[in-house]
Amino acid sequence: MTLLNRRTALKLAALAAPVVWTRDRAFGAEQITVADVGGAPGVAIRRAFYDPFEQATGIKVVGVVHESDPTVQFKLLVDSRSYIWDACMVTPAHVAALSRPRDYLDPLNIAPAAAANLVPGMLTPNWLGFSVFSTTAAYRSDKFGENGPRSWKDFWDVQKFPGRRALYRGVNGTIEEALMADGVAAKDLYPLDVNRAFRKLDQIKRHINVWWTSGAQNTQLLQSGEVDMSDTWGARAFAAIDSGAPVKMVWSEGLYNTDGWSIPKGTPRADLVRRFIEYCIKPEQQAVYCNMVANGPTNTRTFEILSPQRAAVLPTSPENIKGLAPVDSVWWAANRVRVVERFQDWLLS
Amino acid sequence: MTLAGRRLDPLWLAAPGLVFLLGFLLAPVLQLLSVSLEDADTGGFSLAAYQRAFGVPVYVRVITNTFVMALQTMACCLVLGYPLAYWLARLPKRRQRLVSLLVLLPFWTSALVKNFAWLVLLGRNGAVSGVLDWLGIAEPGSLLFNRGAVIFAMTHSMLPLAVVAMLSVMGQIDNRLVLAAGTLGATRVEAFWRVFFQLSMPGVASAGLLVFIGALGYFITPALLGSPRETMMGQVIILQIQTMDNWIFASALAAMLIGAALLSCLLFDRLFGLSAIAGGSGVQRSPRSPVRRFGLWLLARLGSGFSRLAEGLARLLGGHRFGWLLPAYGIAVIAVLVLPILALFPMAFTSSEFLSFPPPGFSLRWFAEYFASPVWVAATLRSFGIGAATAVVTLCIATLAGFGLARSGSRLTGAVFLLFLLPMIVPSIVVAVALFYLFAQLGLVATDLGIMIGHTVHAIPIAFVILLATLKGYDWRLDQAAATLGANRLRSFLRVAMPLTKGGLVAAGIFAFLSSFEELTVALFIGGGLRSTLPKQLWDDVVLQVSPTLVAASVVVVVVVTALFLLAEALRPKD
Repeated sequence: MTLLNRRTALKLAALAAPVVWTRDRAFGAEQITVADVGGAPGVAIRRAFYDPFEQATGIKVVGVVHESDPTVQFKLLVDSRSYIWDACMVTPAHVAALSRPRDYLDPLNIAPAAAANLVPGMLTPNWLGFSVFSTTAAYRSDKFGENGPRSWKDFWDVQKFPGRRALYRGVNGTIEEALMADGVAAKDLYPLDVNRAFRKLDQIKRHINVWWTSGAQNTQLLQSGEVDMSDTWGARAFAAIDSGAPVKMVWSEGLYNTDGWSIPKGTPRADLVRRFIEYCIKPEQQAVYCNMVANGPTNTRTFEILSPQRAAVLPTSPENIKGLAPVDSVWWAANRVRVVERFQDWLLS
Repeated sequence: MTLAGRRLDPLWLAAPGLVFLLGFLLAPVLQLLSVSLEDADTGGFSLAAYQRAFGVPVYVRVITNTFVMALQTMACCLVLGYPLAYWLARLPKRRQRLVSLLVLLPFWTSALVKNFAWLVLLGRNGAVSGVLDWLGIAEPGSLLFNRGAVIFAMTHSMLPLAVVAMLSVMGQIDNRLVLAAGTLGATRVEAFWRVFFQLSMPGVASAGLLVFIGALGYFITPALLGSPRETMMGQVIILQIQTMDNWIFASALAAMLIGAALLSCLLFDRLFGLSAIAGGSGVQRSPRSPVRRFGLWLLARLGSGFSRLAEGLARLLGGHRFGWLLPAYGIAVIAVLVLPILALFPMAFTSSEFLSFPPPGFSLRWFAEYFASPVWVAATLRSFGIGAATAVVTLCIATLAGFGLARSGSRLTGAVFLLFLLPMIVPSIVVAVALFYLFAQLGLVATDLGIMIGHTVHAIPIAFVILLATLKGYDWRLDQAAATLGANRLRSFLRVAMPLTKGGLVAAGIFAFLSSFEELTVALFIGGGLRSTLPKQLWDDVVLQVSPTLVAASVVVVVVVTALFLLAEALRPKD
């Protein structure tokens, strides 16, 4: 009995040895947990980043889904030192909220050489952007044909473009859209003239039939024809278009923003997760991602891999990005609380 | 009486529940809410958050909104549910169980999925609009995003609870009392109002309380189906926590909601004496209280009024007594209850990438996706497991407490009653976050045990109120009779009380299971995404991508549960 056990144990050890002693392969038990946004992008992230990283390094990646605004969960797990996540998908605005007044983020320590081909601004000491998404208008082409709204001014014009409208029930994008409707050029948006935006929002308020709250709802509204036009996040409208719904996106005027990875301060697996985040710079992996979800890459070399047809529908294509302005997360970090309060009061009164 | 012979007040039976709730609810929540009295800058004592809540008209409006909508939902549930429960109570037992199964069917489907089903069915291009359009009474698109849609959906999801809470009391009413009233000269209508209706009041009161308190906490339905005018407190509190990270103001709003809800509970208790010593067939409490005298007077007037109306109508229509009306009504209400669930079936077998009704084509791919996904299957199994464990623990705690409270003569019953209702009153996000901090110290974050404890906290009020209403109708003299025949307490509980209150016990157990099966917020925070339950999995899907997989998952659950119930029914000895 003992002998048998010892023999089995030896055999197992012999089998395990190559796994343990291969330099680049880690222990089988090594594992990191990464929180992403789930849904269709979540599937794409697994295919493009988690699975290939597991194969390359032997480090298992558990993907979990976080809330649309993960900052509270993020702070909770750092404050209570319960590191159920080792990395989290966040925007620069989240990073700003998580950096001040208390710093909740660990540095990424990515060498400048590894980041050589990244679009400027896509790597900060504690955040790596990998997914560029747009906020624009979209409309039903079965309602308007080829003559749909072409700008936010048109979106606000209820005489020329009658129909049911939806807007995002939050400040992100909505304030900028109102200013563009009032004639502010995309490049002159910041600092935002909040008073002017609310005056413009007053004009459209009673014409908004639905205030949507989640990306899925936005897709559903456009796909089912519940509304004739809405503001939208690029991949959301594209999901409706992909399914064959007569939906068109208005690229001529809008915003873009970037999702990326950050590390909760103090996680014991910080070094493992840093390797994962650096892995997400690879253009091959970004190309897999951009082929599945209509978001843009941050590594310029990804365009050498993507087909021209695919690159053309992404917000990062030269044709599309012309009309888009970057969201100024520094301005938002400084003014967010004030504007959200005012927006909520305005919406309910 | 010697000291040894002195018995403790039966209220001690509530002790396990009290300890559980003190540890896992009251202490962590009070700690969390105490920040509402802090100054944002100095951390010192301040009432600024409360001043803001009362000072800004918007928040006063949201609070008023919340209460008005909860009252509207309660009224709809009671008015629509009472005749249905009455019809069910008079059906033969076997048929009653099968029809109850239909009433409960919508409860097995997550509120999220039902909300999306309403979006599809009642939408501008939806099936209902299509029918209305065809009938020529349509104003397309106006069905959604208004007060009516929200109240309808909330009533739809709370109605089964109201019906079961009333049914568990109605089932105990001795029908011979109604017959006796007849021999004393009452018409059938009078006998109903003056005897049956009065005896069913504890059920009405408990159903009303559960629906009202439950409705106060809604936040997903008004967000998805309402306009900004339907904003409720739950939404504002979540916004303050999740978007604004403003714990001080969120805690102040939560404390106000809790305070107002506690007041309503006290009022309910004062009016209907839910926590009082056994009423029903036992001794009535304070027969001369003015409220009670007014109630009896009102019932007498209603009885004679409706009696005359019924006689008049019967004479006019030549003896026609509308006996078919009640079953027809019952069937119609059940049809509306089951409608979105039936609509899920074609939506799940769709070939489209999206939820649509009617579906463009037939396909099994969403079921294939569901069964092939270890995440979905694991979440479903975990939900069943946690639900079953929650039901057992909850039932133990609530039964002990219910028996203790129903038999106690202590002055503390009112306070204990409120504490047991508290989990329903505290907004679930506050419970979830408070438990997260506690569990982080205990190492229970992202464990099934942690979720189960959170769900038990959540399930206790429903089970407790249903049991209490049932026990109120229980004749304690039967226990005394058993004792004179030599039975000890345990024996008289097992052989007398338990069989007689079985209906309430089963209903409480089922609802404890269901409340866990449906719970989202605790699962979201405590599970942390690593221990996904079914509602959490559905939520992930709903937030980013509404694929028919979530409908397929719901269909699988509905089919499995229905099959289990039918199996149990088939195996049950004939009665």
